Amino acid sequence: MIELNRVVKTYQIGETPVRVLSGVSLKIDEGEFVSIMGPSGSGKSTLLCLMGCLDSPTSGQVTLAGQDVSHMNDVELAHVRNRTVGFVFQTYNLLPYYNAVHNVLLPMIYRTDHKFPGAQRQVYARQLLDQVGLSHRIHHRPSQMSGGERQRVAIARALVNSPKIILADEPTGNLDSKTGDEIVTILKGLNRRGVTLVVVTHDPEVASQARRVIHIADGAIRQRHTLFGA
Amino acid sequence: MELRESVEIAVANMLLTKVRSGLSILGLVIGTAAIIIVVAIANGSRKMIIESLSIGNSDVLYVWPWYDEVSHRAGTLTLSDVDALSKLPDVESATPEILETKEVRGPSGHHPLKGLGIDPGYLEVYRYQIFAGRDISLLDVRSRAPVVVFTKESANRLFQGPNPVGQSVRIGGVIFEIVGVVSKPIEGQAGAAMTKGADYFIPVSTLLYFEKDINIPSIRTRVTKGKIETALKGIKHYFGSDPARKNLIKISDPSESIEEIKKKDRALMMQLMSIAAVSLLVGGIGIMNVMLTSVVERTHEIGLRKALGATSRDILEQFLVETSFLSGVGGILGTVLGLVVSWVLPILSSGKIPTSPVFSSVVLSIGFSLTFGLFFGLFPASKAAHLSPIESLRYE
Repeated sequence: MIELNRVVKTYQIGETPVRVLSGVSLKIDEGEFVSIMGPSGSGKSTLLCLMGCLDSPTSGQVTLAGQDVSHMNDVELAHVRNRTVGFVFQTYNLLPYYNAVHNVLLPMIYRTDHKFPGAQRQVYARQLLDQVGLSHRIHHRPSQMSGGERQRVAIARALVNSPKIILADEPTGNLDSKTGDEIVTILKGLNRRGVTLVVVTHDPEVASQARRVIHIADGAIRQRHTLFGA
Repeated sequence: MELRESVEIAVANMLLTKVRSGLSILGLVIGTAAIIIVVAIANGSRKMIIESLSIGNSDVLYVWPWYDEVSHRAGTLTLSDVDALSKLPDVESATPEILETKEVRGPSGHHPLKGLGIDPGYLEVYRYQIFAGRDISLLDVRSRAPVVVFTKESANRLFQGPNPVGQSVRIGGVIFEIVGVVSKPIEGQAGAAMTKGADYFIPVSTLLYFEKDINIPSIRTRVTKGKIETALKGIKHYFGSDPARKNLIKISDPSESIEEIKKKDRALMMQLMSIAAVSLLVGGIGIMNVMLTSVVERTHEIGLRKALGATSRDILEQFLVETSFLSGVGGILGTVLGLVVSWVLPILSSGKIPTSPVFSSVVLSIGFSLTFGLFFGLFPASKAAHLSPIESLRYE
């Protein structure tokens, strides 16, 4: 489902180029639940952004659902971000002046196949909010919701175009452990229904729920299948 | 994404962000209105100045004696000249303009005052307003009636009480009946310098009857409208036919004063343009700031929309529609506000601030509001739209 082949990412910070990822190769199968762990600045978030087409690699190849995304143009990349991948961020990234329903239906308006006309979008967005247990908060704005509720809205938004892959960047990073557990439970539920799930996390508790853990340090994969200390 | 959807998003966005949209629009409204108001005020005073310069001059020629420095001789004008001029073709009337100072005696004192001999209609042309009583009539002139019209100021000095109409005064020993009181034209609207100094007006025929040997300082000839060229030719011919008066009579050339007025108008127009340019600049900078701030603070939103599947074109389209909506609405509201203020200002200031909105300034300011709105909205938006989503998402 996701395949990275000798992926290098270099950022230009002022005069000096900084190499964040130095030749990462990995393969994630369809329906897998994989955690990516590593210290701050190790490149794990960058890795996830490359998988989600939010950024493109300096060199190397990224393949998503059989499509090579490393040489796609703007329109093709937008299509992949819209349909193949659902992204869940640590800081939720909801639009502050939109209510929950509006935030959830946002990816639908960028669909090119017009599967959901205007009126249906609202109905479908409500269904998804109901699925993540927020049917009572649909008209609230992000500022009127708790962190956990916001993250549920974000998950509903990631699901709205039925993507094959959900990428979550520290989804529990801003939440207490109880709410964090609830979010992980929701994500695991999605994985059980066949969605490929990749979670970047600091939290060994969260990571241990995954079938596979990938450790990143200094822009390269260190170990597989074991935990990186508690 | 279809255009209809972009419009839907833009409208929804503006409704959801009422305060921010309102503030952007306010900036545009003030910028647009400022341009229209400033130009209207400048143009209003320009018009007033030009009007006061050209008042009563359009169909009037003046003739006056001249001193020739070579021959050391001075010209004279007589009543027979007045008569002859009035009979020339295309000349409607010829009136000697005589301003004389006489001792005027009223119930509350006597003062030396300046009197002008006039025709009926003279006061109207020079924008005097009848305050009480009536104007000098044709009958007064024909019968050489001893009647007088005072200005309000001089009437106040000679009489107690507000309305002296019907009372008598002595002017240079002759008893005159007061038939009217006039108020002077509003400052800046006065006509020829001659009328400005006059304290009272009597029929010109009456004045000449008592002052048979008076030296006529100038003759005012009213010509048929549009026939000023032929009338001028006739007058020149009349004085030119007598070699003894060569170079001793001067005739005002209206084309000269029209040229003068045009020159002044051009200067005032330049002033107007520079004022408009400054206010355009100020308004434009205001619009630019609003748009720039709006786009910069939405970089994060742009990044998020791209992360959720928006293409660069979708983003550009959304901003294009939004900024045209904002600047269009702002431009229209600003125009309405500008026109309303231009209309109310002269009323509130009771005529002290004349305004005259200029159509091109309305077009210009709407155009500016749209152009500035679009340019300064699109430029940063297109920059943001072409960033990678992660860069805009990290932007705080």
